[in-house]
Amino acid sequence: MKALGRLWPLGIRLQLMLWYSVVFASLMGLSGILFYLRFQTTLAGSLDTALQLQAQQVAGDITEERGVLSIQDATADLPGFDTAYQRAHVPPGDVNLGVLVRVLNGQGVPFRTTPAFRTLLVPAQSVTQPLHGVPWQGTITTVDGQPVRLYSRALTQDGQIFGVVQVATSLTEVQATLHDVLIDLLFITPLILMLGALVSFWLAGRAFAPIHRLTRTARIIKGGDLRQRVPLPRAHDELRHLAVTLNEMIEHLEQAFLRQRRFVADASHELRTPITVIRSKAKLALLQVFTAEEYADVFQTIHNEAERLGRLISDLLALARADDGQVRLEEEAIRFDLLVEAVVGAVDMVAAQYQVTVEVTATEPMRVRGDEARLMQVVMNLLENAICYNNAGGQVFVSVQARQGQALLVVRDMGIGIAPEHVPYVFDRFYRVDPARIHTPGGNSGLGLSIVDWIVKAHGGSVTVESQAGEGSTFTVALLLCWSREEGSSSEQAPQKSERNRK
Amino acid sequence: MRILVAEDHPALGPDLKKGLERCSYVVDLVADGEDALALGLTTSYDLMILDILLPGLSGLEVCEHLRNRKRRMPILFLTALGEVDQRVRGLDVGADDYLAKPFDLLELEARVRALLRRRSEEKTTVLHFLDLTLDTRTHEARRGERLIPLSGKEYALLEYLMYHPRQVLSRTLIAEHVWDVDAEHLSNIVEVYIRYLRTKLCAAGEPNLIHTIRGSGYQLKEPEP
Repeated sequence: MKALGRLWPLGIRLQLMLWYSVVFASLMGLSGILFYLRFQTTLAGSLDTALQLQAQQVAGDITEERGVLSIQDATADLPGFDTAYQRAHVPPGDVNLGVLVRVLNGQGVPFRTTPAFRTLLVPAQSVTQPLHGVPWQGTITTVDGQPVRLYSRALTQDGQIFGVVQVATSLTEVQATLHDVLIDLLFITPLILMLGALVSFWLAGRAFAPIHRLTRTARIIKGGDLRQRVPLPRAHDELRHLAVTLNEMIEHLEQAFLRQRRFVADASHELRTPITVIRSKAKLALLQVFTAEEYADVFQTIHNEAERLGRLISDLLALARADDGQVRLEEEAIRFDLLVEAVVGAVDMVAAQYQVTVEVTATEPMRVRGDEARLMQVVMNLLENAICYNNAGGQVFVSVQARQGQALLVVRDMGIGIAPEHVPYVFDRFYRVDPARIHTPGGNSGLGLSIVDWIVKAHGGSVTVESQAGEGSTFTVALLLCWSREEGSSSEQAPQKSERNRK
Repeated sequence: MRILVAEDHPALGPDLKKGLERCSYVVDLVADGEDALALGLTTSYDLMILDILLPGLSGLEVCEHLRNRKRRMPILFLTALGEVDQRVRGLDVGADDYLAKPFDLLELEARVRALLRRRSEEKTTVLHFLDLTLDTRTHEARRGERLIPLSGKEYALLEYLMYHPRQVLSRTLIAEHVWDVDAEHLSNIVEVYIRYLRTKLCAAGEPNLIHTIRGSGYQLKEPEP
């Protein structure tokens, strides 16, 4: 019972074996039956042909002259082939040994009969039908029940029927042969089936060998070694497809793992820097007596670094939650041009601090659908970036235009620019073109552009950068325009949402 | 106003969050006591709504811990344990209010409003500051007789300012009370919303009430002469 429990549900190998066996068994059964039937008809057919030939031979040896039949040649020499009246003196023979021939005259009276023929139960029709010119053929029995095949035909001379010849042969032997064949089939079929089952079990095992290899490699990888790859089978089949897919998955995992490791390393570095500053400033202040102004300076530095840390941690948290897919974005129709203008208005203090002017060169009314606060952050981060990496006295140009169903926000600065080798990485987390710039006052966390990238992508848009070292950079955000005027309808929030558009 | 809801029921928790968000509150939802305590210790919520039977720590333990650590935000127990001695115990560990399940969402909202104005001088649903009024029940803002249409976020921001008149509120503090845990990092756009609000409040040429205090934050106070 327990062993049965282990087997059920059946493993794929056993299932395959069972299926193979069922199919094999039905094919074998079908072909066995066909073979047997065909063999039977062939045997019966050849028997009948032999009987007809024999009858013809006998008929050829019999002639009639004025109502008297005479037999010549070989037929006359058949043992015990005598006249009817002699039959009492000769005992009837065995149907399986003797020749079974009988000749009757035109009145249907037996003329000559071999001894063995006398044991047959001959139907009257087998005599009357040939007398009317139609040969008769059928299976009859002896007195003791053995099957016998009988053929009767008319004896003719010059188109006149003058008698009947009947030949018969025992079917016992044929039936014994058929019986033997049937026994053989019934014995051999299960043997072959068992052999087939074993072979199919073995074949199924062979078919799964590559899968076992995949499993072994996967187990090693599970152990933490992401550099491993599963071996590719040479044939271009389903297994190779599986192996390729697995390898791609491992590749992605490895990449993600490396990114994660780099991210953690970068993050701890970024976190350590402000903490080092705070610690050393505090230590300094504890060790020696300062004037009130000097203390104020120390506290200001500590405060600034703490702010940096706070912002860094919030940004990290935001990105981590975004990676988890936990962040739910609002969806409302927003006047994007007004949003950009409002954000430009809000950065004037930072801009003044860096002696940079921000100028809106072009806007046109347009709506996009999305999360207002987060889109503000996109614009804010791009502007802060453009301001921080600008030269003193520099300018930032902002434009918002509708182009081919997209809202295009372009933020161009005239700052230090980005060298071509750094351009592909500017949206990477903590990627800094110039590590020395790490301490820009204003506390850029190094995550601003990553957050821009995430938010824009979450809105189904794209952000690109073009840059020339020394001449400045141009960031372009493309968002899908929203044409409908159903603002507020999508929002589950307060009805106030409907007055979203201000002027 | 930012509210922490600790409720482990898989349907009731999100429903509460949605219901309270419809009133322009910011809601963080947690499903166990330890998370509730951790968030309660690190975030200055305006109100906490705790279930008592929570996995991890019970609501009573969370409340006790918070009070021992001098966290003074209003706490409301929302629980199926409705017997008199259970209510007494809940209020005695330091809760401000006790609402037994089943409850009506409208009653919960009213109690939330009452708890939020507990520390304010206003004792009705309408907040006043000079000629500015804000109805916390209907979300109507008026400057004198003029009705001011507000978006959800603008309402939340104005409500927070009006509960703390004349206090200097930093951007981080405002962001903490107007955005949930997913959006705390948005503090750098508080300025944008302040500008929206200022524009709306002064749309008919009235004097400005929301002042920027350089380097510190914002303050709702009388217009400068």
